[in-house]
Amino acid sequence: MKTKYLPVIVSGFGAGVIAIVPFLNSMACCLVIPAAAYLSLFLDVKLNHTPPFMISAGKGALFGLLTGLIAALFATGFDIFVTLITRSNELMQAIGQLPNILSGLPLDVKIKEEIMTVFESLRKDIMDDGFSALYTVLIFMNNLISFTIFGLVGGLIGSQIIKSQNKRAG
Amino acid sequence: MKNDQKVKTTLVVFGIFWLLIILTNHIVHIIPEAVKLFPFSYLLTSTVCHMETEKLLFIADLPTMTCARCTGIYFGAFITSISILFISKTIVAKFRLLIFTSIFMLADVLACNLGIYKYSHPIAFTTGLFFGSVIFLYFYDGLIELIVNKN
Repeated sequence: MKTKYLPVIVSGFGAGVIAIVPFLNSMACCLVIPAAAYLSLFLDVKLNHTPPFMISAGKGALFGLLTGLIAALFATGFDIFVTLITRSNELMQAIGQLPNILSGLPLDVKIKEEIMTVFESLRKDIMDDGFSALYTVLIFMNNLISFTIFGLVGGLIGSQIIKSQNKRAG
Repeated sequence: MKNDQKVKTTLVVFGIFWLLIILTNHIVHIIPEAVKLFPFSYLLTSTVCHMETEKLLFIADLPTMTCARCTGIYFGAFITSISILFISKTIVAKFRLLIFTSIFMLADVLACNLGIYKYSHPIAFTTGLFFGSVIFLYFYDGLIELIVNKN
């Protein structure tokens, strides 16, 4: 079995699971995804016997980006699955607080009403069918953007950490 | 201008831009016309921070767009970016320092979430500040290797 990208898949899957666990998911983008990107590089060193000095910044960035991408796919999939079963999610609970949040934003009253209408229809879809196309798109886009950016940064940083650890050991 | 100096300058410019995004509420307070930038700032910051209202940092009675910890991380990274721009001597990121600042920040995150003590804005900001200033050095090294020393 080709193991070149196995570390990326393993760490991306792990991060995707953590990203839907309550409490841990609040740290998903800023801590879990960069840590998963670092883990993918670490696993690459251990699994594929890649010498640490061969972990270039480019490779780090690529592994980080792919880890973020896979984490986004798994996290979105798991989130949709859990929503389908429970017919509830964190966004549903947050919609109740939306009028308070919107009142603090300097937006036109019409726009605020439109936003409320969109989110109310989203809530209705999830409560009735357990699925909302809008929610799926929203959650996927949000995960995709934040996870790939943080994955890329995490991979870049991770490559330098692995190198510095290697220098200390050597 | 050498390539690494260009990277350093770009990072400082990007840092200023990012800090202005974080301080959108303050800018809108000074220049009311800047309110049009608010949705853009909100979109950008909402992808990188949970933006929980009670965790936002208040400066001059106005909230920042990111929480106290994230503001600290970005501010710390900005301070380091300015430092490396003006200090010609190479600053080497010490792994021990990264571990120390990470533990310091994670301990605060865990203590707050486990209810050992209440979320403190100064502590969250300070732990973020130290972590951000150290982690930026690794990010900078990676970027230099990626852009300047790729061969």
